[in-house]
Amino acid sequence: MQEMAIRAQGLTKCFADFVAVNDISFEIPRGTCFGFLGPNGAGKTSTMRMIGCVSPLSKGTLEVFSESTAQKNMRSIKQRLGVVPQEDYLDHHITCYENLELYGRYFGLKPVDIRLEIKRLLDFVHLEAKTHTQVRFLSGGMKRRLLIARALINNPEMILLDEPTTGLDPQARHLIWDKMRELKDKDHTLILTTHYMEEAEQLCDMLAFMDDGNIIAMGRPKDLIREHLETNAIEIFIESSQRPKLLETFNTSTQFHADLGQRLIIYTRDSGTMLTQLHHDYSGIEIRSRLTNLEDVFLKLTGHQLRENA
Amino acid sequence: MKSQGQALSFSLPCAMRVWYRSVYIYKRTWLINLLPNFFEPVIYLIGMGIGLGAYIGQQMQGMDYLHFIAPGLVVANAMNGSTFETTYNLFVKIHFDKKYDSIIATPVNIEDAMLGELLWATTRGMIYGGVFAFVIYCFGLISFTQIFLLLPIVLLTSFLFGAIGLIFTAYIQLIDLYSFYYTLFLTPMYFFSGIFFPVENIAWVGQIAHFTPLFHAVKLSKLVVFGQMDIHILFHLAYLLLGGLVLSYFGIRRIKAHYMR
Repeated sequence: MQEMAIRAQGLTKCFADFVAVNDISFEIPRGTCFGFLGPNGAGKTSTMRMIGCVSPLSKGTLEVFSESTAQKNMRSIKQRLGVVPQEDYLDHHITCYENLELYGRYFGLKPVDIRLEIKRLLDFVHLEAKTHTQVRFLSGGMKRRLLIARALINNPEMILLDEPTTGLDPQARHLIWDKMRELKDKDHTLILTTHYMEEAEQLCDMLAFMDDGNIIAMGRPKDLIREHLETNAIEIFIESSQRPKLLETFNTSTQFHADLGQRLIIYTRDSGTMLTQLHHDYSGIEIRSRLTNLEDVFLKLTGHQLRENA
Repeated sequence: MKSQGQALSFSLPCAMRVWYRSVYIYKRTWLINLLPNFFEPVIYLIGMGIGLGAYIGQQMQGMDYLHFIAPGLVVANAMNGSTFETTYNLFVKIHFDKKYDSIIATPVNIEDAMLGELLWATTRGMIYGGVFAFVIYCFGLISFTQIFLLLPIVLLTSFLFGAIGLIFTAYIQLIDLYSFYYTLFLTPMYFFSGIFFPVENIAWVGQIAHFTPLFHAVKLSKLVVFGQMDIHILFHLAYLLLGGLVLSYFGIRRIKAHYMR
């Protein structure tokens, strides 16, 4: 049996009357990259905070490295975790080096070990040139990389990344993805939250779709797509008055199709035939063909998109 | 914010790591930080002790005014040093800088972090009080031995005021409320705790003063400097220690409830 990094049973988090996480259960095997995908407010961050031992459970059980997250185990669990927070909680008026040095101290690491580790980590995230630069002079992407380096100071078995690339430009995002792949190759367990389906598809072995505090689907990204939808998606920009007839023609009125205001998306195994016929019947309208992705699955399961205007 | 929190479980090594952080940051700017707080009591000492003292002569319980006010200013300086750490500084770290959101992701729990801050506030109070004790020694107002007699009092005063600031910080949501803390609590206490005149002489002020923390600290400082040590010393010491312990316990509990929602 594969060893589990996380076991959650009936995990629930309430704030007063609001249920942020509603009775979810999941297991995360060691060495995998697991992603919580969902819109803002889905309960991803609350789940991560419970795993990180900074938020008590309202109900259910949660084991991290086979230890319950009860108060008595919190310090020993956190000793083995690395956390990359969503916001940058760095000390802005001291240097990158000093930030890592102080953070390493919180883990009780020896100053001499910290010194060696800092050099290695700043190399790893390509910030060696900024070693003695104050954090306030770094760009957003650099700060995020510094946060990743900081989360690795204790050589953690598991790394929690809360929206690691939100707000970054594409170049910075790809650099962070590369680093995450390298970490995965070194057998770290990675858990991330994201609302970018591309990020989830690229990095995650396993995914949990979250919406409204619930896990609505869980599995490998490819399996999730295959189980729920046909392989090809065709996006048609067509007036709503013409839609019923079109749907009837292509016999999708009974199957799942997505009506997104301007766009109508229909799913098919044989996109070639459908495209030929569409161009024939509706010449002049805009039609795009692409592969079905996680966004489509999410749309089918929840009736809304992962992100507005996604 | 829930007032009912989980039980506290402290780790001193973890608390010391947070204490170390403040030492680390303070080391870089200690002179800029220390000087203003050093000048203020020196100005009081010279202005009131020498300036006003010239008109008072030897009438303050048989001694000159400079001698009379010096020990009380030592503990008041300790109070100011530690107060600043657990009021404005702590509030900014909790609400604006979100310092502890990062720290509690490590093996340091929130109660350890708060204990570390309280120890740091105490340390800072010790530095301010200690330096000022040395200053009045240089003025020839106390003996070298008396510096060391004052230090335990400075320690407990710093601890207690660190704890009072912490519990106030734990309960407020608005940084502006510190104006009330300073003008309605610290300033009146500064004047009516026996530093500048014996409060016992004003009937009702004397009654109220007995309940204020600085009164006991000033009393102690005068007892050891003017060599009137007796059994009362234990009562005043216990007041500072127990007050500090009780307030810091409830303050830290409250802050933990805020973080561990």
